[in-house]
Amino acid sequence: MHIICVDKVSKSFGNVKALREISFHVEEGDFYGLFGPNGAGKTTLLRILTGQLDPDCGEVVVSDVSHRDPLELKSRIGIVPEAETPPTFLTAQETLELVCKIRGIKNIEERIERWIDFFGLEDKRSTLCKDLSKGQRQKVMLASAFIHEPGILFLDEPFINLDPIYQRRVRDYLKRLVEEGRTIFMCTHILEIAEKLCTSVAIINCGVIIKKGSMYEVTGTGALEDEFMKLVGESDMVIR
Amino acid sequence: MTWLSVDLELFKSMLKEEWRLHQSFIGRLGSVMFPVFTLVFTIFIAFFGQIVMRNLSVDISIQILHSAAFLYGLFVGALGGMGEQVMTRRLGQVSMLLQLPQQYPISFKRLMGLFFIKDALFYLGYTFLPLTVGLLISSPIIGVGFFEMFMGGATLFLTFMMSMASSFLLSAVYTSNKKGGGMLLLVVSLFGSLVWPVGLIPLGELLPPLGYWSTGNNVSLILSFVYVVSVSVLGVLSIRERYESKVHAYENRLLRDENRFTLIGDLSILLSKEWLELKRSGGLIPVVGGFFGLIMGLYGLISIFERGMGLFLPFNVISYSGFVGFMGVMTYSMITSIEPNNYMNMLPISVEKVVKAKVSIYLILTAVISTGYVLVIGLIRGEASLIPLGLLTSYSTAIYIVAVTAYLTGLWTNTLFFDAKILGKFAILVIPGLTAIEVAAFWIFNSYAFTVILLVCVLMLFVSKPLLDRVGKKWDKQEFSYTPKSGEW
Repeated sequence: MHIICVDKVSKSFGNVKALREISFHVEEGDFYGLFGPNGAGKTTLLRILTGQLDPDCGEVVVSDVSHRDPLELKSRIGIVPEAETPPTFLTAQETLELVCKIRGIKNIEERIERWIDFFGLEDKRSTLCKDLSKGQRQKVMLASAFIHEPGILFLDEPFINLDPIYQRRVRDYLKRLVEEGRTIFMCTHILEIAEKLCTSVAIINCGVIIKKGSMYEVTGTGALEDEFMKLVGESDMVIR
Repeated sequence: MTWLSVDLELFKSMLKEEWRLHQSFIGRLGSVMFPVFTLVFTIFIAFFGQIVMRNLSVDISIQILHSAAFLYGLFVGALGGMGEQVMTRRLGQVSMLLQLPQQYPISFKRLMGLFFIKDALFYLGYTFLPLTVGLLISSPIIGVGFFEMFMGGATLFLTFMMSMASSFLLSAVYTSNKKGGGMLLLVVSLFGSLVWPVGLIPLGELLPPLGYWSTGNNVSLILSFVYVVSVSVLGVLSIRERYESKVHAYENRLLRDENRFTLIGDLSILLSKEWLELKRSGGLIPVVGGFFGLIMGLYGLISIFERGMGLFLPFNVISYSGFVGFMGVMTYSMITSIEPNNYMNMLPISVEKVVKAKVSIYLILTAVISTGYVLVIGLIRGEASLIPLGLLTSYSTAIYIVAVTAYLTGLWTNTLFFDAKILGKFAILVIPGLTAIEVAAFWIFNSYAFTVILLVCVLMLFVSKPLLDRVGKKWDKQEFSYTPKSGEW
């Protein structure tokens, strides 16, 4: 069953064409990886898929909800954006409380304790987010996306700034989610991790998907990094 | 590269940075037009000032102009406090050349010194030079000599520099040492109070450039120059090389504070967030104080006109009430600037709800002050019978004007108000109603005037609801992280 359907989506910013008629779909229970060089259009695509940005044309349906209904769409998914940070003047605990209230979660205290414990933030629960380290802020962002246990997670560089212990912990958690039948859509530059996790992949360059399919279909018996280098290099010659 | 050539390169880059920063706020055209506007405005004021302000003596005019230059300098000179903000990265995503000492072998003192000189030259070229040219052009029109006009521009700039240097020193000392800075501020305030309100020292003696106009003594100008140089050098020396942000543990109050706002319904959690952000960011005092200062400033201005200059203005409590609502625009703008809302992008919440939460917190904060203000002014002026209508006027203008502002600018008030189109729409929507109230207030004891005010207030309240409801339609497609560019709308 297709849980994410993207049909001929384009997006421009002024004269810059960020996405050009992109089409693909993601099956329920997939760990889908989207890779591309800097400025390829990954974050723009992720913002469109998560209802943060409207495409110029084309259609996006995520979990049976169109991109035209961004609030309903956001209520069904979890998002970890690449660049954003938690609210400056709320504590780590208050940030999670805010998420729970907005998402209408009932057992707030229990949920918060679970994720504070998961990310080892006990000592930092009463610290303002502006005073947290980058890694701790990333933990708060991840906890904010995980706390309502959504069916689909959209993650943009989820492992950034995390130490190896928490990288592994998050990786294991994500694997478990996929085993339970949930879907994960992830953008990352850390191809070694992606190779271990993803079941399906797409490689994007200059706003065009240059290859997509299962991990095996895309990489064959080679390494994802080698295939990525080859495809991006070839597509650079063709597209530019 | 030599020491001097590095400084020159840095200085040029800082000037470019300042210019581009201005362009990002008010657009390329707005940036270029600002000095032209200053020039034209100076000629306009010089020409019409003598017609409109016949009762205003030259001495008072000079005092008012120098006081304005002094206040302007105080505002600009507070950059001494930027050190801490820059070094502890509290300027958010804005990166400036001032952050260079974090990575490169250059001292922060040296950079701040260059920054101060850059600011002084920038404001000279951007404001005081066009102002002086405007004064020189208007010289033959109003019959004042070229030399006097030139000296007018020069003493205004010197006054600006004196207060800029003082404010720079104060903010630098305060940022490095809160107690020392507080003491220095207290001493300066006590000394200042001898000028006003005590009146023991004439303002001209405290401000030599102003004193020049009564004594004609050039020494006062040389003294001012020496003061500017020595105080700014002291300011630079007071800058610290390292800043550390202090980390405190806070009580987790979001859910507890939410209970205070349960009357606001499903916005209560957002109001609790806004409230905590205002308190913890240190924004509460500037927001409330700014609003209070503006409405007290209005009272002071009218008092100067009425008592100081002997001009009779038929102002009453209704006139003040109308302006109270208008002053709230600045307050709402400050509330929207406290904290970016980018985080909300990942949550199922609309821009409309966040705007409504900000409007609610604005109304809560200003309602108490404006009620007290209208009550006190009504009683002082012996117009107790007008207080109920005054309160209605103040509430309805406040609600209407914030609804118009929220509709036109959403969460990006500070930036979008620099856009001429938005500002034009705001003027069209606000000025007619406000003018009707202010004009009718002059004849308040006429029953027609009373009815006009009542009708305008009811109309404003009636229109506010649909305006606020349309905020969603206008802004919900926008990302919270959106940064409007001037001229885009």
